[in-house]
Amino acid sequence: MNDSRNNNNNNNNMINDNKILDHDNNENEPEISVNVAANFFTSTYNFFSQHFNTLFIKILRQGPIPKHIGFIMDGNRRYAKKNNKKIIEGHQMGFDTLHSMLEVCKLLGINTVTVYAFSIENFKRPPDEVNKLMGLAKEKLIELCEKSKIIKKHKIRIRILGNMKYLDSDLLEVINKAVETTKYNTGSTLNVCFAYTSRDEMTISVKSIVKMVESEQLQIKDVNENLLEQNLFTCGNPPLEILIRTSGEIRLSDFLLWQCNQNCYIKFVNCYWPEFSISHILPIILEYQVNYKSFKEKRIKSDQTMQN
Amino acid sequence: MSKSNEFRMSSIIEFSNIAYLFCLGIIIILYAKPNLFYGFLFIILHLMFKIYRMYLYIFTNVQTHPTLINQSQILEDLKGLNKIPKHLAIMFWGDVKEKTLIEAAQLCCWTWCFGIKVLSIYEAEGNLKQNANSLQSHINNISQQFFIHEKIVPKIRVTALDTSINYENNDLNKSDLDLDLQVNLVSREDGRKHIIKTTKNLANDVIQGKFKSDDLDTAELDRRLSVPKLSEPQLIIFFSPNIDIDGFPPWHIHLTELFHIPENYKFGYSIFLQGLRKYSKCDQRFGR
Repeated sequence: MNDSRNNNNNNNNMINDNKILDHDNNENEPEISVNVAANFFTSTYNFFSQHFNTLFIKILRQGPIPKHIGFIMDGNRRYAKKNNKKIIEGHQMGFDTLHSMLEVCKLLGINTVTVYAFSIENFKRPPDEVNKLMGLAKEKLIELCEKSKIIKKHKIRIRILGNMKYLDSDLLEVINKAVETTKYNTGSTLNVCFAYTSRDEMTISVKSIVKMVESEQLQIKDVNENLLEQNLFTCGNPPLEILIRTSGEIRLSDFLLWQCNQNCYIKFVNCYWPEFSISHILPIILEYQVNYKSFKEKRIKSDQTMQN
Repeated sequence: MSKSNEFRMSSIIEFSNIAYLFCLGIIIILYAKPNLFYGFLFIILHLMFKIYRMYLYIFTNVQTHPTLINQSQILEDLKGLNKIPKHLAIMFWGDVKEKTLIEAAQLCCWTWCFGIKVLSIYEAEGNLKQNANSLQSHINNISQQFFIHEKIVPKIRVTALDTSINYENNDLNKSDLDLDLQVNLVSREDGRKHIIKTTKNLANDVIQGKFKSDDLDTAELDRRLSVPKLSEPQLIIFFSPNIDIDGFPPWHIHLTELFHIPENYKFGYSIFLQGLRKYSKCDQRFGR
């Protein structure tokens, strides 16, 4: 049963891959432009850089584009310290960066974006900062659902991934509301990992499988990798293809360990998250495209081994 | 004007006409179908990027002379390091051949010199596991030359990791205690498949009433997944131009530093040393 479903999925993927190459049907393409506010006379540099970025995006769209990209948004606090700002201001700017990155991803045609907002380990931080962060999260979620133009324009669906038992009821209400209001958006998906660690996610998945076996919905011999994957928070999303961590740290810090285990580019960028911009992400996409051929071969191979 | 000259002139004019028409045609096509224009730029961009990479490749991979590494040099390098990983993992470079096996044996000797206790070598397909014996014999040969000044040659033992051994009734053998360096060979089988196997065992235990499914938490799963010898490495060194985890046990890399040098395709001591230096500078905050 599972195998046949997987097979279907593969076929779909292959069809999609073929579609990437023929871009003759222009009707469905979104209008591409990056914040067209800059004026040639007032800010010449911005004017040119924006047009250059727009052109760059249009060029990159000719090639294969990853379907799922992950960000570890690290370095907000260090950025604030470096620039003599308050910590909360750093987080605020980090959120703005996320907002602009969402737009860029959408223009590039990346459908699923997963970001690491708050780890379970982060609860160890001073309670004052944790409270402020929770407040900020609440505020920003409300802002995202109600006011954000990008969410509305591109019909982005918000999902919160994480262990909800760590969160207080206030925040849960806001989260539920945000998820409910954007539920029917079909444009693309923004996964916000909140109170998340990958080990926790895997444990929950294993637990649900064990419970299914216990209640005899499932036999032990049917347990396989696909099943475990379907019980992860990211089920239904395309496989993760690029994972970017900012701030120059070179570890994954318990983020999407299962998902990045195979056929995933991991990139460590040497700048803090609020500094991360379009000029950092476009070269990464270019590199992905140049290596795409070997990447695809590997993927086909691993899919075959997974089915066996 | 001679006849032949005239002929040449007219042919040049004809050619320039054709070229002119050709250019005009291209411009019209590009105007009508802008995607072709972008596609053209796309190809040029990719070409430029490939040339750039080749340039980097030549710069980073042209070595002067492979210097022989000896023990005293390593001891010198060791002084500059604040901390050393207890467990180091290495991604195997290239195919399993005589040459790479000898390199791996050298690597084991370096690792011992740095005072690392456990070394895991990951090779996805499991070819290295099958060659465990020949790796062991290479290590025996090389360590005798390498440790000329040591009175006792350190004991380095290679084992192919076998996750099917149950964690409970596998006590460490006595011979393990006086071991100087344990080398584990890890393959894709020990990654996701091992988690699936553990899930099956857990389900079995639950059915037989040995374990309650509600008691399952991260710590318990960690205990079950960590068979002896498969612990979390503090550092993984990639001898490849980009990081591809390629099936390394996912559970065991949650705080591991992943080190690589972009555009490097080669195995070498300098990369190994740079990885250890980077690790000694890394500062882990554990979420705080």
